[in-house]
Amino acid sequence: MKDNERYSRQVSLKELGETGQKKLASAKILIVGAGGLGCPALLFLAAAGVGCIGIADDDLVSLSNLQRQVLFSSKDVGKSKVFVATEKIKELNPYVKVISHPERLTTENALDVIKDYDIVIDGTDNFPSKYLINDACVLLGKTLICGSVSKFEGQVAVFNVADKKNVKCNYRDLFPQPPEEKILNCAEEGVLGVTTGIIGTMQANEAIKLLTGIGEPLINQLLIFNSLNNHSYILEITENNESYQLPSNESEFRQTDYDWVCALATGIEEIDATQLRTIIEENETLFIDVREVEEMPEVNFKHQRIPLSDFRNQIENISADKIVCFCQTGKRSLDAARILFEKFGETKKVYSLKNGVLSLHD
Amino acid sequence: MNIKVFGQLTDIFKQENIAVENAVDVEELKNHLINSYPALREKAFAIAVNKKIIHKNISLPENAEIALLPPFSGG
Repeated sequence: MKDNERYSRQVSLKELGETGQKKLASAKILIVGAGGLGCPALLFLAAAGVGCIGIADDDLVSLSNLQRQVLFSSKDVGKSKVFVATEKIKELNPYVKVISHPERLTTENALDVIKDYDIVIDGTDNFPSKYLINDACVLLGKTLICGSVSKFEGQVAVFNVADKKNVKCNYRDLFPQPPEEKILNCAEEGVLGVTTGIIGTMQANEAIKLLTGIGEPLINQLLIFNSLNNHSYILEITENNESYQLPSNESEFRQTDYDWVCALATGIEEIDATQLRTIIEENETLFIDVREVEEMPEVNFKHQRIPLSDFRNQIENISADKIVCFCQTGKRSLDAARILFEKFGETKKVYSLKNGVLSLHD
Repeated sequence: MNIKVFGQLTDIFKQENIAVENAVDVEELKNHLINSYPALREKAFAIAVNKKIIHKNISLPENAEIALLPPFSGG
């Protein structure tokens, strides 16, 4: 160990010791979402000397993040979260190898990104990502440490690790399908920085326990913590093979449409060509073509073109309350709609054209 | 029988703990709760009996502790 003094306080814990420290140094952890949960988890795992940490997030730092996303400073607003986080972690502990994944995990890239890590920490704030990450981890047999919050409460669980009876549960054994009704996220219902701080720190704690083999990780258990009264409630999760079907191989996973299964849950409405024509006649809606500038065919109704690649930078000044996003096939427009929804929440009504411009020319 | 509610479900029940009459099984309890709190019908939640998540209708031991648990998505 190059830097003995750095870890001296934890190495002197007899439960951890030099052996535990070596296990941390050889571990590879992926943190998905450098937000309220991901920031504290990243800080503590890097400080503790986890050898390799990946950070996946496609978002930019915004002013409303700073109250809970403790890696970022005021001067970072507008910069890539992954880029800033990587720099901060290197300053904190230069012995940690940091791998940047400045992208949203999708069915296209998730398996390739996750396969090189031992443990995945889910710090995302939406159900499409949570189900996608869960299913990818089951397919690849990776340990998943889930965390999420709702106002003053948080949930933590460890999945895909065999318990004493050799049973491995996953997130779908708890919640088999994405909810059909809308579940509010932090942007809409509000959250205190300390609550995400506690839950993200608990996720880091579970990772350290799993890696070093100490204590009792929350394997097949769900911890619910209430920060208002400090009550903790631990539930046992059991297998539930009858209520869900996971993608059974890589190609099935790639074909699963997580945005669609979760579209309702995130408050974005998908509309078809007929509904689009009705909305066009209403004449009060902003239509946004999120395809790249040169993409054809053009549409014959009034619209703006804001390519998805530069979408986040150009949506600040949108004043319309009703917005329809469209693209070639309906996938990118759903991403764009989600970005709008994350930014504006319930204050704007956001639609995505299902099957895209191609469905207009049938 | 004591029921603990978590997350956004507390908006429906207005409190974190409620006491209800003993029910024979989970199905009966669910029906009883939906009658008293119709908004619950639209909600997704897992049910735990004596701190164990259950996936099908089981008979309820007397004075079982029930927990109703919605998924959280914030981060």
